[in-house]
Amino acid sequence: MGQHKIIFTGPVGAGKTTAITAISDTAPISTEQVATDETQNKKARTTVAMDYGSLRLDNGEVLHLYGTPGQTRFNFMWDLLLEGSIGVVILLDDANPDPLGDLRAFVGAFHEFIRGHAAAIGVTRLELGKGLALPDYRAALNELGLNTAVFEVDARRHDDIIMLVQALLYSLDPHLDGAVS
Amino acid sequence: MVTRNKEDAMLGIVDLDGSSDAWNNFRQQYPALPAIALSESPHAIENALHVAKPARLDALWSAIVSLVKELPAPDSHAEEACAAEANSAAHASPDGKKTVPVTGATADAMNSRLETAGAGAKTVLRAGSTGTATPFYHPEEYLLGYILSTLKNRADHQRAIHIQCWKDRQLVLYPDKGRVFTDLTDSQLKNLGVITSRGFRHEIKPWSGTPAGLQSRSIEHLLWDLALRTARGRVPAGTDLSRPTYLQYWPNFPRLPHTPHGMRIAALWAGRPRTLDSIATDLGIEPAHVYSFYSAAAAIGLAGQDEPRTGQAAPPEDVKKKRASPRGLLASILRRIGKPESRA
Repeated sequence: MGQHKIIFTGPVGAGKTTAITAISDTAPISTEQVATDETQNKKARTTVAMDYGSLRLDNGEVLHLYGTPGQTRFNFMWDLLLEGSIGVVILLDDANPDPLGDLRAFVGAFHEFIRGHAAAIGVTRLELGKGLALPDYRAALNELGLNTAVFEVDARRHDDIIMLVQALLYSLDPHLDGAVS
Repeated sequence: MVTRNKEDAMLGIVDLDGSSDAWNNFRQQYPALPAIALSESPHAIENALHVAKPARLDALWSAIVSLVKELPAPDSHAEEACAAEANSAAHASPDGKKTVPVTGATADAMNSRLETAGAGAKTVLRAGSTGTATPFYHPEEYLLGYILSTLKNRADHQRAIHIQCWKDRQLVLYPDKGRVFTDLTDSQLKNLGVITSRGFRHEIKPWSGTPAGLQSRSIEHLLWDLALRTARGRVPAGTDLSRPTYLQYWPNFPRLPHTPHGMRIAALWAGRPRTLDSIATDLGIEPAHVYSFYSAAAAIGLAGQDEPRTGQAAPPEDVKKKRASPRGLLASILRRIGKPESRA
């Protein structure tokens, strides 16, 4: 059977682990440890290797869900994880000091992959109203030469994460069976 | 169904409780006409649908729709006659524009049909009704156009717009915050799409804090929902269906009402100018779904027929390169994740 996977990536605290938890069939395997670097200013624990969740498909195959650690010092893992991946979900935290900078950094890091595959972008904590709105993210994405789906999401909400994955799938093929759309 | 000529009647409604001979008299005159029989007690009558009295409008409407579905489709001349009759039945408003008044109860029945068929389906009705014989509608005749015009023309961006609806219900829009507050019930909000703009009035007042006791939603959600329910498978008048249209960006689907085929349309169309009919053909769906989507996207400024100014339009992406995964796998994943629970 093939190895099918979707990668969840984004800066620290954007909700990658939470998002995988929201849709995984089983309790995800999480590689969290106590944060000792600048991350501790944001949260007590952080992913140090990767998160893993899965969805069993009706043909018996498994869709693997991998969450990358958010710190850039782990970016050597990104290329390894991308190999064979269907697409990437980028989660951004609007409450971060420079969320558009995060967008540019992560889209830049995955740019070649996105060009050849698909991506969907979810922005968390927009409801806190720090100042940015979705049009700001769309404009920044436009400058990067992409027209990927950008949604406001709550990483804890199953439906929001499902829609991100749906957008990723339809980006690959809009002609997929419309019975679910 | 009301027609001017008995010969044009497509079905009859007979009140059995008015006279013991009512049914026999009706059948003598119209031996083959489909019929609905109204009575307080059940009657087993051949070749008629029974609706119990007092007749609920949605039950009567369902019976009418089921009988009409069984009838052969009218020819194009009949459709034009329907449209002409609907127009002649319209009342002229003081500004000279024609509107067809719809009561709240009728709106409930129409929305029942709408929800059965899906928000994108054409609600093509028969003689004497408010027909959608053409794919166009006039937004300015409905609350949708009223709100869009008010938002566009407001001079002071710091103020709230209070719109008084029927029964003293209100919509309070805060454009700068992107929020709307209302004491309209969910059922009443659903009816807004078929309510004409006559009778609405608004005031513009200073922001006075979050109104107490009113439910809140985003203005974008309100406009998208209102546009879907107003369009009902149509596009705004003036839309040139032979010209390409633009969808600048993907709509924010997690925060919008369910839109049939919405993601597929967005995936195919975002950043790539297309005619609406070509989108429907490409996806194998009814044009009415694409028309409704376009109406909703246009209402929130995401779609139009004018080419976006430089820097506004997202560049088109090359779809051909994006087939790394077989369709069977993608479809399997789609089936597995299913519909969002809120859309079930």
